[in-house]
Amino acid sequence: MLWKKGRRFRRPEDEIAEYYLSRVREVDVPPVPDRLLTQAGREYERRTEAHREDDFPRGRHRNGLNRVPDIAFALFFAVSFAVVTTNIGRPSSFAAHMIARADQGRWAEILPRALDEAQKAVFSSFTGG
Amino acid sequence: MRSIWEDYYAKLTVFVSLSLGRGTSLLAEDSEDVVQEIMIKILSNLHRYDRRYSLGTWIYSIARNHCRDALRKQLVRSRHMAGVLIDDPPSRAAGPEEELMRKEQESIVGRYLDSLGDGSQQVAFLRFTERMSYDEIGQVLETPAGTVKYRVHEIRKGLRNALEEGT
Repeated sequence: MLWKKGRRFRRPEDEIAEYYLSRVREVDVPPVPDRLLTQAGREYERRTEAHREDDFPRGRHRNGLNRVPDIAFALFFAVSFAVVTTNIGRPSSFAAHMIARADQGRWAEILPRALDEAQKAVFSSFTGG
Repeated sequence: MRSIWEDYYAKLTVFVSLSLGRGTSLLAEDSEDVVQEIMIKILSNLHRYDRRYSLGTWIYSIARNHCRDALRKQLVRSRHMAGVLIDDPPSRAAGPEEELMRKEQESIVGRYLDSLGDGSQQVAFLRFTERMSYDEIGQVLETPAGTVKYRVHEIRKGLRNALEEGT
């Protein structure tokens, strides 16, 4: 809150927000033209249908760069798995556990476990344990 | 679709007026046409909206690009008409929106914001009215987030000074 010669102002950001909001409130919003709704609705339906029929998945996988996190995670998982299986020699239960969760897409559960197991494996390979 | 129209029409009207700027010879009716064209473009291209991003960012990006094209077209037109439109605006009748704007410009905040460059006015609108993040504003205005952050800081500081000085 700012004070100047008995006048009180709100924070600058609030003053700006209020200024623009008052302009927004003054605008008369016309009703949406039915013709536009029909036309846009038809177009939307047509394109959505076209996407459904398209074999190539849109959105997330349209851009190759978007897949980098997935690929990095898969690599990380593969390395962790290899370390665990080669050093610990007990791949069966852990690997099965991880693969089951990977199949279900439960990456949040896998990551901490995989990190933990990989750490243990590396440590045991150094200590010979 | 109806809710997008109702939620964004008025906000886009203000954003368009900021984007078209004071130096333009576009008339009030032209601005209205620009807003309607933007709404048509938005509604017709809803299938292209990527839900990973905020709807506001997408809508304002379209609006910003459309305004840029409108200004470009207007520039070409004004060249053809040898400055007739540019010289004429003072003679046109002031609409109710312009009357309102004039009154608001009398306030400290209005005067201060009016003194800012057009880019900064857009930043102020998106940041303080639409509560967008620096990254989102950067995407809309095609400006680095760091620049946006600096402008926001300058706007805030400038208005604080103006309010304290009572100018």
